[in-house]
Amino acid sequence: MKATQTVLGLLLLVAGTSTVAMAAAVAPEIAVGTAGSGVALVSGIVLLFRARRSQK
Amino acid sequence: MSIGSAQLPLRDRLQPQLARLRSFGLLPRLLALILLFAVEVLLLSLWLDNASLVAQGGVFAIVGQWGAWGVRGIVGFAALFTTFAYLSRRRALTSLSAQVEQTPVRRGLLAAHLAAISAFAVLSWAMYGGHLMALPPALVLALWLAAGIAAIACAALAISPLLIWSQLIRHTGSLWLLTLALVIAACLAGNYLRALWGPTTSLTFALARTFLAPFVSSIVADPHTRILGTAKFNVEIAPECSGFEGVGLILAFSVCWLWLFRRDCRFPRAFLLVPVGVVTIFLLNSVRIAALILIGNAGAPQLALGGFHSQAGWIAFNAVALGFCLAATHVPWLRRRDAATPTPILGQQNPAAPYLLPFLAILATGMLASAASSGFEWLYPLRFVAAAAVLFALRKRYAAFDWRFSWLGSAIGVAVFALWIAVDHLAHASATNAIPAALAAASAPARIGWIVFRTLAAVLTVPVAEELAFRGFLLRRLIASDFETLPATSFTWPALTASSLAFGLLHGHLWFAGTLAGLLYAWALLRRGRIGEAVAAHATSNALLAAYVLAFHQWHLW
Repeated sequence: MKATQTVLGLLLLVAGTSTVAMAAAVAPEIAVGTAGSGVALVSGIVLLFRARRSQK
Repeated sequence: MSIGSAQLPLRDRLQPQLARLRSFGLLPRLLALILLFAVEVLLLSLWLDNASLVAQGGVFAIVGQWGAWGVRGIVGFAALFTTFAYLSRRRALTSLSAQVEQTPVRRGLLAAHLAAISAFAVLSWAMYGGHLMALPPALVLALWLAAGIAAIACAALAISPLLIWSQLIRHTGSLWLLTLALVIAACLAGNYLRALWGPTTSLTFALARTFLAPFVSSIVADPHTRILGTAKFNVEIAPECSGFEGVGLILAFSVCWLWLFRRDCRFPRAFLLVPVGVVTIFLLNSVRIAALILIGNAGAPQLALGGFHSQAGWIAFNAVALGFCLAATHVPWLRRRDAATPTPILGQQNPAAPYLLPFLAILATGMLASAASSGFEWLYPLRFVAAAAVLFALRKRYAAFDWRFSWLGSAIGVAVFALWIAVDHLAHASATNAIPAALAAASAPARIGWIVFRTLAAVLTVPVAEELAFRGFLLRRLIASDFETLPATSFTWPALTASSLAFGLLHGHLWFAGTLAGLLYAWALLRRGRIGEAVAAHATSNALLAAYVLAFHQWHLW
């Protein structure tokens, strides 16, 4: 079960990253110029949730 | 603990770190190798155009068509392999690193690398420029490939002997094959998934039309040309607008989240969040198109095609990502019973909140303000207000921080300002900017008010928010997850480099100056372990920059 989930996760990750890479290279609907803020914001959100988790 | 007192002088704390750096373990050498290749590829790509190669036909056309994929594959392989190796083979890598430290870097092979890369550059010039056509194309191509492979091999063997490389391959086992398979799969998937863009555009077109219908009585909609809108304002929904990029982002984000929080998630139920996220972002893309048409139809086409068009996608992605995080942590059905009880991310117990929230507030309001702007960000004061409000709300937690500073902080700020101006001159940044024209057209109170808020933000809220986030938090968070238990003077070279690089990347074309500034601000903090020193340095450079912008009308620096 765990192996299946890992493979499924990797496949989804591959599909996701390759789609973004292809779309960004061709004509981004999500502007590359504003990617810094967008990625920083979502990273900050994840770090906030992770920080809470480390308080266990 | 919070940012507080220093222990040993910075010089004493730096000694072991510098000694380690001088001995060049595996990681610094690999990073140096990656940096060397990145610079060389960047320099070559500045004057090599794949289109010219494709136009020549024959074997060169094949290289032109697949060259970009090759570079993408190599970059993807390096990134994935380094990540997997770091996560799963850390102990073996540490042991190898100790062996590498005993081996000097071989300068002769570095010289051979330079010779090979020079030959590669000359042959590239011949191939891409259509020169040396008296020679058989196959021979030129073979020589070109040989020079490229020789350049890579010489550089790799210069930093580490063949024996270490073979041990690295043995210790990392099947990771090479797994990474290679994933990279090939990613390249193929990217190519084949593109075939879905066309059919999906029809669905996006229909959805956007449905969302538009309640607000517009006479819709202009041509399914053949995929023109949608009104008689006053309409757009063509191209295959690239079909929402696939957002779907890809959410797929990558959700898989990373589920892996990071795998101990808290209840599987396989938590996997349901992936299709929910994908469907939500896909629907929001159609909402984005409908909203864009409504804005254009309302008499603001520049706003629709400007700020809104560039920001709405990121706003939607961040909104879905936040919803994903909240659902994964707060819906009991998706969480394991023995998972830690969630505490509010804004609560007193969250150690990262005082460090990150002011910066995140600036980013979020900046995104919204930019979406409501066309060229000139009239709502910039919102960034100042949002950051100030967060800083005020968390003021009790900041009371424990060491805000003291000395003349050195300000001196570092002056140095960063000088560096910034110098790099800007060297970069030949474009002087075209929407600010002067917009301010000239505004009323005097609006103009003065905007400049006052912009300056206040640059000198007060931005330095505090960015120093808390990058030097106060990220620098220690990259060393340990329980970063607050580390002294404020803690650092490692990878953490220092990565946090400064992340800071630099947020500064667009001035990323290099931003990275150097990040290193200098970190030095200000690490010297005595005072966040106040870094804030003073940052505020000084921003104040000088604001004065420079206003005095010499260098608006592009804002």
